[in-house]
Amino acid sequence: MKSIRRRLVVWLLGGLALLWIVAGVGVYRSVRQGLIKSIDAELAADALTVRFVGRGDEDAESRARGPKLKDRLTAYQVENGDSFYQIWPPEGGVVERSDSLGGLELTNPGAVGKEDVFTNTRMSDGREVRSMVFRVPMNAGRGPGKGKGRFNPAYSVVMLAKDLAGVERTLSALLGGLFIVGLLAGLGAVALVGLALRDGLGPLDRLREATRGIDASSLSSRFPKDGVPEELLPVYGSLNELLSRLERGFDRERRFSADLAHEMRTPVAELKMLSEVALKWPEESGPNTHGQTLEIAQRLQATIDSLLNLARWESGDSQLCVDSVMIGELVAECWEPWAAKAGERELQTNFQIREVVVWETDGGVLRVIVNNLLSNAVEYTPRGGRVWVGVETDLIRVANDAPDLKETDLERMFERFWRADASRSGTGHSGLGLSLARQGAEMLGLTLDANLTDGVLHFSLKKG
Amino acid sequence: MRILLVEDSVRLRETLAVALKRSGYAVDATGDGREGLWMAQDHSYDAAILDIMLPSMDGLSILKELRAGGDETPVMFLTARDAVDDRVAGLRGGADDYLVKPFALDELLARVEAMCRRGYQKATSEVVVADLRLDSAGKVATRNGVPLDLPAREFALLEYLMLRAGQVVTRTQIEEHIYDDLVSPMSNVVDSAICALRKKIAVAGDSKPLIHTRRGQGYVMEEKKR
Repeated sequence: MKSIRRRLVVWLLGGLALLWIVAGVGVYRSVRQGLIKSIDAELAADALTVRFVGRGDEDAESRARGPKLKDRLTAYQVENGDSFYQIWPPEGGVVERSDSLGGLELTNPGAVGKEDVFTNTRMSDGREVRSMVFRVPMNAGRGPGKGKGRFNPAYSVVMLAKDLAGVERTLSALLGGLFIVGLLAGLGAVALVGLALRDGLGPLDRLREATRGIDASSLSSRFPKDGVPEELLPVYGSLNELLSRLERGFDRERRFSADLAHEMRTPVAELKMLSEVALKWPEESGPNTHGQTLEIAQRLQATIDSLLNLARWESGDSQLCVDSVMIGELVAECWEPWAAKAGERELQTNFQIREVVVWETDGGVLRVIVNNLLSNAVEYTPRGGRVWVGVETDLIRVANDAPDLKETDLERMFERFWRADASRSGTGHSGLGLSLARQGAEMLGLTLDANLTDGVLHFSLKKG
Repeated sequence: MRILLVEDSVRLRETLAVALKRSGYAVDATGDGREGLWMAQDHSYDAAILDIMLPSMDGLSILKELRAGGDETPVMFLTARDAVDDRVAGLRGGADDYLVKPFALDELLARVEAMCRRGYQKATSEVVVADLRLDSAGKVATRNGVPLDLPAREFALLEYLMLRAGQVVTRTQIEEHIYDDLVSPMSNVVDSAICALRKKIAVAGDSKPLIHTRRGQGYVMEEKKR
């Protein structure tokens, strides 16, 4: 069951119904017990009368003179009444019974001890009655062992009984009342629970409506926190954070697409123009045109290769080929193709390379990273500027003069297609190098950081 | 017609310059935004083609500066940014046209032509002076139905004179609009070009002269009624 509303309905209504049933059963039982107790008290009072009458004089004559039981217990003599008694004298004497019994019989309880016994029993017509059974000593003359009867008396067994029909009627009226009140309370509870849920879950409904309206074009909107219950505040907070993360992600993707378009459109426009001019005015084309066409194709290929590498490295598809790599040698090899250009641009180079530094890593990927760092340094250092390259045990450093770079550029320089110069003109760089380098470093478990101090841009590629 | 081309991609700039020159325009080209602005402020161009993303100063800022200075030169943006917002920003900024890279050369030439024409308040590509007709789109000129054989530069000169028919056109204006390199003050390049053009448009012995010299002022193209 996934719906909160349904869970609450089941728990609240089910719980209330269960409570009502338990309370009803409790009330029913205690009322029944109370009624039975009051019957028992009546029976006990009548038993006193029986005992009093039964303990009169010791002989039958004087007993006959004394008050009669029938006169005393008049309620028991009503025909079709609800009170009965029956007395079983010892040794099978004549059974005495109330007039109310008519032709019916109470069940003989058999031998009885000193204690009075209260019990439910049935009459010969099957009616249930509450009965009290006790014994009454008979006079000594009738008991065995004349003269000692006082000490060893014979007992009559007396059963007083009252019909339980009245109690049952009261109880069924109570049950009916409980049921009707329960039904009304249940209907009331359904309405109340409905109202409470609508009010309590209202903020959730509003949140659902608000989230439904969010799409790629409305990522800049935020969920308003006014009037939000405090239980939902963290949810709103997280959703707003999520939205801002999504917004940043979408912005980055949009910028990437725009940059990619620019990156591809310009060389394609160049190619198109070269070919159209060559077709329209063949005399304007020559080996130079073909050379330029080839250069454009190579630049496009480099951009596509970098993008593919980046996509593969980001998705974690590529397999690493880990080996012992001599870092000093690798950096020196990577520098070779840039040495001429550095000379041409009159750069002052400063190498600090420790001889034996060996890393267990993928040399191919590391080469791409180092190559990108070196090419950046050579291409973007102003003419005559300084370039530092260093190798330490756990660190490769590349630094260069970058007087025009701003602190804010540091955050964006690892983004794809970012270049300090928004026009992207000049060098053959596609603006993918640094993001490729960082992605590669991440894949090798290295960290690539950039910082700017006194107009010098430092890149550090650290282990771990 | 003299065109200013500001585009930072060297290859595109050079190729476009060749195409425009071969189509009869005088072209000044640069890859730097600020330099482009100076050139636009210094010379009177019939049209300017600006890239938006440029080193030192972007195309939108160049246009803003030009318009702020009261320069009405028709401007076309040439850019890789194709989002609607970019186009709207370009056109709202005062650009007359907008072309997204990569584009077709013929389209660019047609648009440049239309922009130049707009500068002379002409709605069609055909200009007529007396029995001389010139179609700048088809690059055809006829006199009394006889086609004229004109190289690109002479055609451009004729077009310029015809577009400004009835007005005196100075030698300097011709130099500025027809020739891309600075013409030496001592050179007679304009006079010889006018002389050559006069001969070409005199298709028959009785053809009336249409290009008249105003001493100390320049030239005027008109049909003199006597």
